[in-house]
Amino acid sequence: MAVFDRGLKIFSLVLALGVGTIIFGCLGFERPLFSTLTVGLLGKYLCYAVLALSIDLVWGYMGILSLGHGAFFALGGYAFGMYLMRQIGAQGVYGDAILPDFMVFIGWDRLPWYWQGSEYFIVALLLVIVAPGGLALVFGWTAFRSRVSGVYFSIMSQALTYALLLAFYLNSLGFGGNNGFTDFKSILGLDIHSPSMIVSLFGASALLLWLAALAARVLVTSRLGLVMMAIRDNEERVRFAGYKVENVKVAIFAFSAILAGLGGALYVPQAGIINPSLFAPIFSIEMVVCVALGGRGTLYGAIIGAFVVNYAKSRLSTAVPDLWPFLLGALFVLVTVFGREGAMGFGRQIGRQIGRWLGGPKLKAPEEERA
Amino acid sequence: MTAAPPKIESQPGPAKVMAGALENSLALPWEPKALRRRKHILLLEGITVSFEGFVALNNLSLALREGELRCVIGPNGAGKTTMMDVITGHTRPDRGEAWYMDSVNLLEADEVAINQAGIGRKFQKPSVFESLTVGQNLELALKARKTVLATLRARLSGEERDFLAQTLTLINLADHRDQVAGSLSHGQKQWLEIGLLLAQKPRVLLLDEPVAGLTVKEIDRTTELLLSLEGHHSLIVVEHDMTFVRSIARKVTVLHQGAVLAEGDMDEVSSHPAVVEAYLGGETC
Repeated sequence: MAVFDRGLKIFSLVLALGVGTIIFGCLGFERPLFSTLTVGLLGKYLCYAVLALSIDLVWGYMGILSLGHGAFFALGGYAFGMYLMRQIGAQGVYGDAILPDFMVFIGWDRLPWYWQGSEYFIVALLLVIVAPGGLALVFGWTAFRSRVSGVYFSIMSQALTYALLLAFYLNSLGFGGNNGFTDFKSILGLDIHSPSMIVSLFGASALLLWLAALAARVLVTSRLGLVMMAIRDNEERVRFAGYKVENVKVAIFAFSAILAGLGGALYVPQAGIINPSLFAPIFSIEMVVCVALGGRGTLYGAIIGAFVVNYAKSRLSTAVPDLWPFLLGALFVLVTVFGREGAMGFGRQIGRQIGRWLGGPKLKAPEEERA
Repeated sequence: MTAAPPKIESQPGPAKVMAGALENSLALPWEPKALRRRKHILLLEGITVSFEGFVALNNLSLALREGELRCVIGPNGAGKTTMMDVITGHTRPDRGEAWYMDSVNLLEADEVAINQAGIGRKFQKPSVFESLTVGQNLELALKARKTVLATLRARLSGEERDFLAQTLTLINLADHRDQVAGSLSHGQKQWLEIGLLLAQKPRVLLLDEPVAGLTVKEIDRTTELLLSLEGHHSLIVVEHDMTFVRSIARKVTVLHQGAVLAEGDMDEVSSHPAVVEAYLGGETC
């Protein structure tokens, strides 16, 4: 199984062409083809795609349905948001060079210990990895060690994100309460609203997505990938094949959480805000729907799903806000009933059908391709 | 399969010589435990397991020698599967001792450690990895360092490729290497699961009903397969199919209500009055 299969080549090409077109279209003309608003929006979708990809790794390949993966995305976002808040410096409303506005507002006179060092970019990057990764390690270790699996794990993961939601609403936690972080000014001293910064962030998101897809391909084509799929099929048998199933699960879960966290970190400067709503279970569930719609266990399906669902959400939730939850639910039901393989499976079926019409060589079934 | 005859790993010191000498004598009641362990690859002594009052195993003792093929029969609920659960670390007994090769205490090691030490198990219901191909099934079972990082880096060596090809031939699936395991027939899945065990190069194989649901022809192939393993591996086969047991068994252990009722060759046990009474229900076989 080669890492660079046809799928990854097509994906790389599409991503490179798309990103190239958009960057050129935004910066290369006097009157841009794409506004910075569009670029920022697409950048956010790219970050959602990273999150969907990370969910697909644990759900599609290992059969662990995490309904709280948004928590890791949000933690990565908050970790980077701390740096962005410190970058505001004296430009804030209260003009305090050290304390973010919300701390001044609730009457704190100095930074709590966990904000120390947050003014350094490198510390922020480290925290973006350590916070979601660390939480996933602890949570995964406790859950998998006691052999919590299936729907029980899903419920626990949802409880985790809900608990964090409640915690982050508290002003006294020191993360801005229900307003969260916003009003960012700069990254590395550079204006966050300048077109070049917006395009750079968009480019960085695309690069992150590509690297995440590459890492995921390396993972799922390795023998460890076989073990992941084997765990999905028959966990007990894997144990009797001599693997410590818990260790594999924890490792992949933590890796996936780190990917999600990195996505969240790039999401925040592009969204311009982070607040506890990212911890809301509904957000995590929406992302799971993305993966299901795109087709789980395919990687690219998750990416396609993230784009389609979030685009639809941006459009429909402004046009018919009341209907959106029902549409989302209906989509999910349709996928579960009619196309368990999601869009990717549907695409393959169409491809095979066209192949048959043309009388050409039959396209290989997905299973044969994997061999 | 060209697997070398298994090495005996105990030191060739005086103890082994003594064990060899004792081998020919009658079992002595005062024989030291350490010596008994050294003489057997698998030794269960006085194992008792009860589940909330129900006694599944009652003071069960069983000793398996290196390279032996042992059949275990007994009516439903006799404790055959529980015995395998104890050996593989899945169930912890209330009392008794269980040793593998005088070095691994089976009552303390966990499932993975026991498996890594060289005990492989086939489940009653054929359990293979259905979404992987036959070749991938075997690849992941291969004996190797199975930590997360080592597995991530693992690549098939030329030697391993050859070994996989041999195993595929042995289990009669050489033409199905790239087929998805989920699409195999029931019998082929049973063989693949035996292949999964063999790929781990175990010293002891525990097979729970390897011919259940197989056609006569498939049973013949399985018989051949198991007989070819005898001597290279030590096997415990739990089976209901009497014709099959008769065709492979050298020594049969009859379990009844969690204890050993009789032990000996097929003719001995099938004429044993207690066995006829308890298990065969008077019917000769």
